[in-house]
Amino acid sequence: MNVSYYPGCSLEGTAIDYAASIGGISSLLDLTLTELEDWNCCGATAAHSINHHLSLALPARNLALAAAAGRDVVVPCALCFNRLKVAEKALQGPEGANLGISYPGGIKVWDLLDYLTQDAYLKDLGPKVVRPLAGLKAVGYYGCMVARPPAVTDKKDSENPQNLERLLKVLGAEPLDWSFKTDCCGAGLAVARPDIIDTLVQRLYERALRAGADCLVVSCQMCQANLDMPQKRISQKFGQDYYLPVFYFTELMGLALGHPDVKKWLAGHLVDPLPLLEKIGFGF
Amino acid sequence: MLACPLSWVKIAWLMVGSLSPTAGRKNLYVTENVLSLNVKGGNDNHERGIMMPTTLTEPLEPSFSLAERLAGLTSVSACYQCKKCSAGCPLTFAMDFYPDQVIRLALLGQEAQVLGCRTIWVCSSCETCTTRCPNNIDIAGVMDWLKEAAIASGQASPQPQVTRFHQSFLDTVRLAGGRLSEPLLLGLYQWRCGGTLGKLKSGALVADLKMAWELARRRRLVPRLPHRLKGVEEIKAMFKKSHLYEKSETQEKP
Ligand code: SF4
Ligand code: SF4
Ligand code: SF4
Ligand code: SF4
Repeated sequence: MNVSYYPGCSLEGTAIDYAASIGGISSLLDLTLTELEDWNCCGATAAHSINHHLSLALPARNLALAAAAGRDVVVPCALCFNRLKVAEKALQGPEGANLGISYPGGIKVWDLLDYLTQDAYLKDLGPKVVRPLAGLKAVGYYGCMVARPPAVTDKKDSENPQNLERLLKVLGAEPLDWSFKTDCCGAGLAVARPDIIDTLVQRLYERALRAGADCLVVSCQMCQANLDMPQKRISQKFGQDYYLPVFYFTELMGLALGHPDVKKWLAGHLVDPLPLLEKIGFGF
Repeated sequence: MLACPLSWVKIAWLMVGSLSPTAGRKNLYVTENVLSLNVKGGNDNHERGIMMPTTLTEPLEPSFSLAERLAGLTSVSACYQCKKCSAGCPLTFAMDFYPDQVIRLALLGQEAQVLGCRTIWVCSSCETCTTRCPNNIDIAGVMDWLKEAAIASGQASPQPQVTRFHQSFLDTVRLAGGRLSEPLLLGLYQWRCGGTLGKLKSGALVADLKMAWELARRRRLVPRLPHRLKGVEEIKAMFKKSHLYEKSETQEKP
């Protein structure tokens, strides 16, 4: 399949490791990701918080670019995905005319995880697994923006999504059930109010551990950064010794499919996942 | 929970207020909300005294102009105060008003309260409330609308760091020509916050620099020139139409 790809700003910056893993696994699957030409920032939380016009116009331009390219567009960032969906709804509604952007529609906006866990892909994936992730106890963490609000994202299972769990099973890992998979980690406040993040994220660590997990699996670079980067700080603050590596689902796909670059991707993490992987028999 | 003796004083005061003969029906309603507000636990409610609606001593004068202005977005008048929004909100511990109270106060036209409250700025836009409201009220959308209106009104933000972060983010996108540059954003934000000295003392700046180093040595923070888009004129036109820089914060424009 050939689809358009909207990476979003942070995949060119602090999340280049996520970008590398996406490129890596697409080469092992029947998937060609063609980057949208001249895409712009979607405005993220800042735009929708303080400027309604920009919050629609910025992503609307990207949608128009995607429509001109004539292919469905996949998005690896939860927030970008959400903003594109909001813009899609706005362009089709009464506000559309005011945006000064014409959008003929006819394409679908996908979040990357949804795209790669379509039945056909999962069926294809099974036989390609060369190193099943046996013994990896994981909780899937979806965060807020890929699912909510369903009126915008068009997701039917926004309270209890299952894609990560289905994928992890195919990869041979052991996905665990927990009630916090779509609870907010507060990433938008990470710079301005790190104290709030500490409270929200510590709660997630505790719940993940209580579920019996050794790691978290995410599909968004903001969730990854927000659960991975402050882990040491939160441990110190709460007098705990948290060790919960935070994997991108694409890294685990690479691992199970035997991609040679996985170790390089994992080197970007602040919480080093190698000790956990060694414990379950994944030496490099 | 209720560790601060001041909370007890406030509650006693509120109880007297709700028993006073001027307490009309609406007045009582709001007073009850405020009471429940004082009873909640929270780690940073001490930061600033909890705002008390002016209705404590005088009967409330409802005004529907705010609800009318919000009508294009959502119908706050559909709220029947079930509080489901607040029950699922993960950020209540950092708020001065609960989400249901913001909706109620907006409906009653208590503009000064809702535009000046901390809640709208610490709301993380997680959309749980909007998803679950039985009356399809877009509560998260109201929070955004109020933030924009608060800036437009020119009043000081009760959460200046959050406000500056959003402003710095959009400035960065504009200055970088259409895409976000993370190093530029952090630099601009630090500059806007100005409190570098205070941060130095608290060790926060050292922590920030350490984190930047951790990212840099993993090649995740690479200083380079922002990528200017071919469509940079289109982006400029959007910013122009947004009136972002025509509001009272213009003087903060870098
Ligand atoms: S949400 Fe983040 S990654 Fe996505 S386009 Fe906006 S700034 Fe970039
Ligand atoms: S990064 Fe956190 S706050 Fe943002 S969408 Fe993901 S879960 Fe929500
Ligand atoms: S969930 Fe909806 S109806 Fe219930 S209190 Fe909140 S805003 Fe009102
Ligand atoms: S969007 Fe804001 S108010 Fe609504 S549940 Fe999330 S944090 Fe609370």
